[in-house]
Amino acid sequence: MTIASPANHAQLDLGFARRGERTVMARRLFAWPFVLTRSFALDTVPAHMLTVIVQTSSGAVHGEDRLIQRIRVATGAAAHVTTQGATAVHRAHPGFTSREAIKLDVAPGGELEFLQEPRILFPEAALDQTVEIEVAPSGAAIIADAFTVHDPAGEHRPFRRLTSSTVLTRAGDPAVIDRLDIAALPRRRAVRFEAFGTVLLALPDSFAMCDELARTLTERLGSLGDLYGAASPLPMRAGVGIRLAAPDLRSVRAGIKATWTAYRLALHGVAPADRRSSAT
Amino acid sequence: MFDALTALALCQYGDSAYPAGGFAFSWGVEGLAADGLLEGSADLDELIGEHLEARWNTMDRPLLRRAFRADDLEAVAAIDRLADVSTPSAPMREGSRRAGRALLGVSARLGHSRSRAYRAMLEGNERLGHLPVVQAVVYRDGGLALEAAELVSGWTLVNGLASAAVRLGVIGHVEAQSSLTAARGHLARLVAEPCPDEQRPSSFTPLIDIAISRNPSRHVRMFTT
Repeated sequence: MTIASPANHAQLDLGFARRGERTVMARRLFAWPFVLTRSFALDTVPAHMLTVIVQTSSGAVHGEDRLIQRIRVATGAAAHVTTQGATAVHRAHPGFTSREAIKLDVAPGGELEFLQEPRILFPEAALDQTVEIEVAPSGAAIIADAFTVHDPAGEHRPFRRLTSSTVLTRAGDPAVIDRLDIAALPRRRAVRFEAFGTVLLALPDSFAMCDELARTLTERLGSLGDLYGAASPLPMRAGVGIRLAAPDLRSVRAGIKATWTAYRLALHGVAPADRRSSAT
Repeated sequence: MFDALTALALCQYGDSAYPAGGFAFSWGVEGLAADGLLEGSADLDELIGEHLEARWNTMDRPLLRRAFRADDLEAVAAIDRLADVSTPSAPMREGSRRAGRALLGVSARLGHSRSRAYRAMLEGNERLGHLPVVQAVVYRDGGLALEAAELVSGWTLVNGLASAAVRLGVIGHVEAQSSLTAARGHLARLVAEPCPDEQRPSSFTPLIDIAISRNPSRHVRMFTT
């Protein structure tokens, strides 16, 4: 998508509402590059969970992109939002930065699973991402964010810059501010870590087992091949945060899937239904 | 750059024997070594560089600068709360608070007024007392200028990492001096670069975060972090 000046409206604007025993899309606005097809009811527990796969016509983020997404989950509704596949972030011309702003709101008793596929930073890519998440005290959310690097020429040319700001707000107060601003990946002589992920679990204030969930999840992540990961209770009892690192995206995806499964088991006692082999 | 009295104060505050409990924190050295990601002086040098570049210079330093310049202790507490929510890992938060409160306790017992007042404010508030914020209070109380406070903050981190590596047997005493010499140059380069007042605290140390967050699951460990 190419826009000369920053957009001030969301190109993806979704609203989920509870209607009886179902969740419906009460608001369904999208514009280039986003594409939406039908939605799905895939889960038996929670039975009112509605699944949406957001696609992009461009298939990538380009240097001049100014993308805005807004997703609202109303009281008692439940939505699972994912994307069709990993998104390439292409080279930005000098002086340009691709920008993406995501705003997520979860009302009391609502649930949102926002599991975007990872970003792939190409040489000279420059991405500035902000994610603002407001989850009511009785609401719940899982938000995953992951990236890796790739040089099609195999020369390990670096991305130019990645800035990311994720703010989770509970009951009007910031509970987590997770910011990074990097122009290179951490170096390790022994293992080349090139894929990284962060997952935030915003849990209802009635959920009293954050410590136990973090401990169980850390043990599970430690059993997933070459994944290096850990879970830990977030500030202000807001939930659990997970960091993931691995040589490749496959292992980070496995970590996200394990986290999603643990989240569902903790909240509903049942693992999520399989979406598709690459959806998580 | 610094006169003799300031240089001596830096030696005193930066000394690993300063009784603020610095020996209890490895800031990821122990966890990374246990997980096979830290096996000698070259790895330690990488880790020190990562700590300095991707956390201290971008997170601790901006927090310290803001707290040092804060008009009153209410403003210091607001920066302390920012430090808290900007640290997603619980063991890192706990370590930062324990290290900060220990440092504050020494300064308060030495009779420094700002430290005593801030220590009183921390009573009953478990979220406050993060190390870079307390360093600002304590070093200002001790008469250091902001630039000197930054330097001793960075150096105590470096010293703590090298000291932990020696105690864990990752490196020897002589190798530690090589690492410290290299880190001296690194830290000097960083503090020579400006740190804009508007800089928002950020960090990207995922491997360190993970190593420390895995600590509660480890059966045996020597250090708090």
